[in-house]
Amino acid sequence: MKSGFSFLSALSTAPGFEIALPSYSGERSVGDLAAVSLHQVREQTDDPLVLRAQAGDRAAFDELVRRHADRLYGLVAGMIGPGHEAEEVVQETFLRAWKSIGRFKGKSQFYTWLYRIGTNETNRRGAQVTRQRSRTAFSIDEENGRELAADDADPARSAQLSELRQELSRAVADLPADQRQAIVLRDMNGLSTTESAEVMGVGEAAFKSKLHRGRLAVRSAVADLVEGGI
Amino acid sequence: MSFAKLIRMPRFMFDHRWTKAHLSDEIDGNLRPDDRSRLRHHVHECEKCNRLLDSLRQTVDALRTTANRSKPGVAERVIERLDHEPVRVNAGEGDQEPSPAPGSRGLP
Repeated sequence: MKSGFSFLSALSTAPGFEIALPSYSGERSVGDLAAVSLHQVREQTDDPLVLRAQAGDRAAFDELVRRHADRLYGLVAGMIGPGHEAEEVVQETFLRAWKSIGRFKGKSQFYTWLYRIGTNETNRRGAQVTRQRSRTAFSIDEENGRELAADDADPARSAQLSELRQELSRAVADLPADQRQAIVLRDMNGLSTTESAEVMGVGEAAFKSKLHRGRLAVRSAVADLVEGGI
Repeated sequence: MSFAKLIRMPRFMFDHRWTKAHLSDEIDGNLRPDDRSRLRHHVHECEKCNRLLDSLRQTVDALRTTANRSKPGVAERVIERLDHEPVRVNAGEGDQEPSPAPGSRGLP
């Protein structure tokens, strides 16, 4: 059995790949990673703000926007690629959330409800987005990956990391939409299986099946890099 | 191939297919103890499944360390748009709250 994996540890220490995220109140600089960590999202209850927003308090809703917009953007960008369209989806999602927050009963977490709206909006627009456009959009991240990898002191390692990043992006972008969403929610954004299934509006068994098929496809695409031991 | 190995082959092939379908459950820690033992026993015996589990785990770990980067000012632009397109909170329209998915066991 092959052991001693090296490319993951290389990735996790590469500049920009670590998930070191700013606090809610922290100043954010250009290029900060998406939003706050899911741990932070879970730690801080939204209930008081949601109650105030349901009573029509815009300031409270604005605070919910500040808490969740970056993370929602990261999630949507994972599904359709970063850029203008992803931001449009985020804006539409919050407009719809503000309009319908009176119907939120607190049976799920606020962010789960929000992500569900965002996923629906993504799917609604996704019908008009061709796979080619999605790949083009993902290539923006590939450029970003090259920039990040270029910071590494070892040029050879930097090139390998960049290649891995590009292959992962391509492989995820090439997946059918449902498998891509499953990977974005569960693996790239850290939602639990139950939360991810709720966001996608499917049962857990169906979600697990989509996730597994997506993972196998991504693994096939990056197998040479993984088994080559970058 | 020995006779003992030959008579174990059907079970091995059955477990082979079953294992491949449950590798993600192993990675996510979703298997019940008896299923986990079954999978690990097969992976110990089957080099192909062993390699597949290893590389799938590495792939998932790599995906987990890859976050999409945010754009600066996303929240501020949302708030600005809310200012320009005010919508009244209306309990009678909009999005339904997601109900727990069929088969889900509730939030962790």
